Amino acid sequence: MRYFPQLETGAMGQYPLRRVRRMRTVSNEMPDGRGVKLPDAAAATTEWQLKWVGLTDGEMETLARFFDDVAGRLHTFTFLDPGANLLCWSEDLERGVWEKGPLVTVTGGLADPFGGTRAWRVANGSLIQTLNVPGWFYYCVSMYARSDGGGQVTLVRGGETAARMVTRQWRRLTFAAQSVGAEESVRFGLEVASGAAVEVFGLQVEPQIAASGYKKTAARGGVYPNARLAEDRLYCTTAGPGRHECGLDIIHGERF
Amino acid sequence: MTFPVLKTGAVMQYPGAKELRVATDVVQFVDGGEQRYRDFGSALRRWLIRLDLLDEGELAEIEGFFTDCQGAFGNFAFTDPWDGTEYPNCSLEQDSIETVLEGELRGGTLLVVKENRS
Repeated sequence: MRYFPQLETGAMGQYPLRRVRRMRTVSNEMPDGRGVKLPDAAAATTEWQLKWVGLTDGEMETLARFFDDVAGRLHTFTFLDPGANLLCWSEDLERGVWEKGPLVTVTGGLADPFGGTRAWRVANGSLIQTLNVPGWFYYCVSMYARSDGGGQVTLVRGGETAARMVTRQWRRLTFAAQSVGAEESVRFGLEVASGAAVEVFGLQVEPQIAASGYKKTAARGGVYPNARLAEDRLYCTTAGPGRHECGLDIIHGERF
Repeated sequence: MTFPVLKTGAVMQYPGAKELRVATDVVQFVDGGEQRYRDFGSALRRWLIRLDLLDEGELAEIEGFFTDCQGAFGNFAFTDPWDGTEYPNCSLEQDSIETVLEGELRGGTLLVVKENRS
């Protein structure tokens, strides 16, 4: 599998990040203002315009090698959206994408740290989502957590885990690391000790070294298999020794 | 579907734009006279919602709403921020949404909502 590379810093992109989502609706408007509309969900596309400045020689070489590997618009690759939460259904932990341990229970509709009722209680086991992403990237797993009884929750990222203390107050817990694994799917989630319960909200995974603001997701997370470059050329400028600039447009469509 | 509100509780930011649309047909006769008549029974409304300085969560909510609507396909009720009147049959005008993150807490996008004839 081909994957769009991360920079040496662990970032997938730089600001400004521009993203365009396109849908297709077939519509027919009558003279009196009434209309008939038909959706075409499978025609949806997403485009990203990525621009980088201050790239090192190594980063520039990595991008050039990737461009050569996919041969411009020819081959597809998996793209991890730098401005998205990679998890699906981040606020519906009863969905099938979440693998639950044998005795784990999840309960929704609890008060969340932002004044809503979108938090969940997870008790007695693990809650994992497996993503088809490269195991050797940087990832940051983050979530808000609290517990009346205190204790700890373990954040999971592939084969690695990190225990974090929880208190009665909501706190954002993060676990960011780069793995040396060669696997092409990674497990993300949390584990709660037997008999313990933790309230969680805002589960998020990002392909970078630190957590950004929480982004709710539904059926689609930020993993885009079958993405393509939108152009057949890679234009770069060298501003000075070890300082390169370039840009690439990427497009993903369900029908690609 | 519910139109998303920002964390401040607002739907729109300044400058906000609103448009009223009617349709008049004009038939001109050879002698210069003309006859006019309405195609629409009443005016239709349209709102341009330009949003700046959004955080990533707000931007994700708006993109999620766009996806739920499938662009211009889905209908929803929209409350006119000028006078609080709810228009039950509205949809997005566009089949694409562009979001720009200029930096942290500096996201922006544009939505166009239009009232449909019931």
